[in-house]
Amino acid sequence: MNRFKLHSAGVNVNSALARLGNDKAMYEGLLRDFIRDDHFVKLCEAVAAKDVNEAFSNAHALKGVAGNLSFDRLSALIGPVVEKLRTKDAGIMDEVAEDMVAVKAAYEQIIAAIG
Amino acid sequence: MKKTILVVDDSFIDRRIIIALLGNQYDYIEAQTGHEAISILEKRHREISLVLIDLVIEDVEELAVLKWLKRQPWSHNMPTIAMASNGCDPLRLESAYMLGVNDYLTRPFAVHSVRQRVYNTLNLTHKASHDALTDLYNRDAVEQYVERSLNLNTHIEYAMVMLDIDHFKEINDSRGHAFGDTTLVNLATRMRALLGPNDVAARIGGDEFIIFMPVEDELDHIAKRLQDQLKWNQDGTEIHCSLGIASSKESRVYKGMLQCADRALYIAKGNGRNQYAVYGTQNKSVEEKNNLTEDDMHGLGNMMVLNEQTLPFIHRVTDSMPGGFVIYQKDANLTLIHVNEVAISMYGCETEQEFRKFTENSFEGMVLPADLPQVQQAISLQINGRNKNFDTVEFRIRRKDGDLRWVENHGRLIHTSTYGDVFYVFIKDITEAVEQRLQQTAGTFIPMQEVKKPRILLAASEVEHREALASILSGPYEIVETDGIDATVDCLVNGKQQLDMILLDVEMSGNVGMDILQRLKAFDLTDKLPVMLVFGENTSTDMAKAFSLGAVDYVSRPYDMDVVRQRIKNALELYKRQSEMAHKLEQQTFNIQNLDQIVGMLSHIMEYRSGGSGRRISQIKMVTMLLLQRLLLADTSYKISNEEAELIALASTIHDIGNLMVPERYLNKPWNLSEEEAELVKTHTVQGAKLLSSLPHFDNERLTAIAWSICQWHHERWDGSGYPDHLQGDSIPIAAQIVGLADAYCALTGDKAYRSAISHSKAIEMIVAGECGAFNPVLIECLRDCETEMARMMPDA
Repeated sequence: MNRFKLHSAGVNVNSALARLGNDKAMYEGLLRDFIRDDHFVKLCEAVAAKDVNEAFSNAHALKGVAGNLSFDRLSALIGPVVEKLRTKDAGIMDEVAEDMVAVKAAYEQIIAAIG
Repeated sequence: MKKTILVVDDSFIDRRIIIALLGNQYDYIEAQTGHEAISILEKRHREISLVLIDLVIEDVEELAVLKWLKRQPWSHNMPTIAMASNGCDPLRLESAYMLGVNDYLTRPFAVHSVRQRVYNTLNLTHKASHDALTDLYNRDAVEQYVERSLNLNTHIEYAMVMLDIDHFKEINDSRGHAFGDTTLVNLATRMRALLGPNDVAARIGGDEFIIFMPVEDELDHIAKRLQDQLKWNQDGTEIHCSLGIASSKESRVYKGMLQCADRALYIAKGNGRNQYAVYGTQNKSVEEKNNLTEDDMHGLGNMMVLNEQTLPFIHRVTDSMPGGFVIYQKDANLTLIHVNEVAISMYGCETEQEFRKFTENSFEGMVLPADLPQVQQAISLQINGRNKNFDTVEFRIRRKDGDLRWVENHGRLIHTSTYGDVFYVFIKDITEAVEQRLQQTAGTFIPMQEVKKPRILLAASEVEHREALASILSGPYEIVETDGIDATVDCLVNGKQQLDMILLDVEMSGNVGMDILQRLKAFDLTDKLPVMLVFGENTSTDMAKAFSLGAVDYVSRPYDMDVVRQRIKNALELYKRQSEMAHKLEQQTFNIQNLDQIVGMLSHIMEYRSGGSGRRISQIKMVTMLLLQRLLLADTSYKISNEEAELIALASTIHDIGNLMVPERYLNKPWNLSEEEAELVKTHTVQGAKLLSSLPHFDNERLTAIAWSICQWHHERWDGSGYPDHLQGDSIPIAAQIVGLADAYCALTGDKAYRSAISHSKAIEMIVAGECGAFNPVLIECLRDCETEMARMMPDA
């Protein structure tokens, strides 16, 4: 686990470890599991298909995971997206698509940092 | 063995996270959807100890699991914890709670809190529903299980087996408690081995067990198989059980089935033990200790038991009293066993079936448990006082389904037996005719405190809000309404009636609800009076502040009837219990610290007044204690607990308190009294009891109840030649017998103005020879056994 890389990717490793009992092995395992998680992919697809409901549930799930694993930057970016999608207003999808650019960047940084 | 947790979450990563956090102290089963979870639970619920379930906002499936769970008979023992995200809609959480969720975790998770919460819930649920020694269900859990099975699976016939270990008490006494415990554990193990996946076993008493199962064979075969298998040789002692079995055809109510199984068990025991009996096929009569005739009603012996022979008699008694019905209580179980025609219609029912349904589960909490001091006293007066006193019990019966209906009733305790079975006969309206009939058969009765409906102050400005709440609550509660600050304050400050709770609308009169709360707290009212806040849909109130100001809970609009009722009920219960505990603590503190000293002072004063030196009282107490010790060792038919023994010893010091009512000169010169004057001195028994009964805490103290009987009866003698009531044999309470003997003994061995003290051995001879009257042979033996100790503690002059 490269703390520096993760830190640059907006992951608060210290906070995560504090919450998770300082078990580095556990955290590393969870990070690897995160790579296999498909919520982000599904979110992108939903946004592209302008499916508000699907987008919301995936964004919400992603936010939860980000919180649990202390992906602070990703959390901060996806928060507003979740709130926008909560309105269930299909008209918001264009704005959301714009926001997703930053979200995507943050997500990819994390994946790269996990390595 | 590790416990297994079912994790229900459609997110793979979320499942990984929670499982990683909880670690390998548990085993896990994962389910991705609600349907999967349900099908796993259906097959494997016995292996699963906890369900961890995600509460996702949009997906309704997870709640479907909770709804399904609620309908399973075993689900009250399956704890569930919800996983929610930070900022999750509280209403969603509410719904989960209403569906029975035990606790919830919020993301992001932290390892220790997650582990502790899970551990707590798992263990609490298990402990609350299982017996610690045998790890079988406990009484509460099995009752719930049985009720739910009977109600949810109405097409299935069930059997209930009640069994106990023969001669368990003797085994415990002769082989020791550790051996006894091992026996119980072995029995539980054997029971588990014999049972199938749909059967449950429970320990409901010291050595009493229940097995509940769907019927798949003849009752006879089931019982035989169990009884045959539940016997073994344990380390040289043969262990076997008696067993009664009953079918749900007899009753589809827990208490009903229990009673039937119990009756069958009773038959099995009556027929010699080490066998089984099936309810409904009694073909042998039960041995009785007393034959019962109608004349005995007045002087009911203390050996009456409830069986086929005595039951018709009870029926006849009840049938002659309008609105009467009989509840049979054994241990903590109450069963309706007979109701007369008039009672049925008086409660608005048409048939006995309907009446049973109407009063199902109603008697709990309504009838005083037999160990309450008032009832205990009535019981001891019953047994020993030949039915001279009754207790009037007032209670309400609540219709179980639909609306609440409150019906008041008066009950008379007419009989109890030394086996602990208690019959209550309840009579709806005490008319003069009934009163007379009762008077003919018994004497006066002691009225008890009235039970009132809790009174709730409903403070809300909007009339619709008040109406909505009032309609939900007005059945079981008395509602007082106010619509503004002034009215509320006025009611609180000047109101004549006592309030039990305030329901305070936060938005009242422009959001001053919180100010009122603040004022209540400032006056320390929130300690005694629960304040329940009412929030609107859009109230953004500082909840933390509200709670810190002493609000006990809240309800919010839109109202959910069940939630509102339950919250209010809980809050009232909580406060009631707290104040009861505080009261009890007060009383206890008073007891422990002061009672000994006060009693000591009193008794010395009394003795001084009678020309004694104060020594006599301490000697009587000592002899009482010695006799008690011997008795507890020797004869187990006298059931005296350690606590009672202490109270008896303490009460012995004031057995002659009635002397305070006798002129001093008579006490100091007993040899010089005329017959009239001697009779007057004898009244110290009755006078003493009367003094005690006038004490303010008389009704509540076990000490005063015991002291009462000692004062009244310590001059009774075994052959009935004593005074004041000419009681005979064991109808004299054992406490009075002991103190009577101690009193007589110390009178002989103490110095008197007219003769010097008699030696211990001579005193015992005199007592054995009957020179002080006749005493219980068992006690005389005990006295003999104590001779050396007494001589040592109270050396001859």
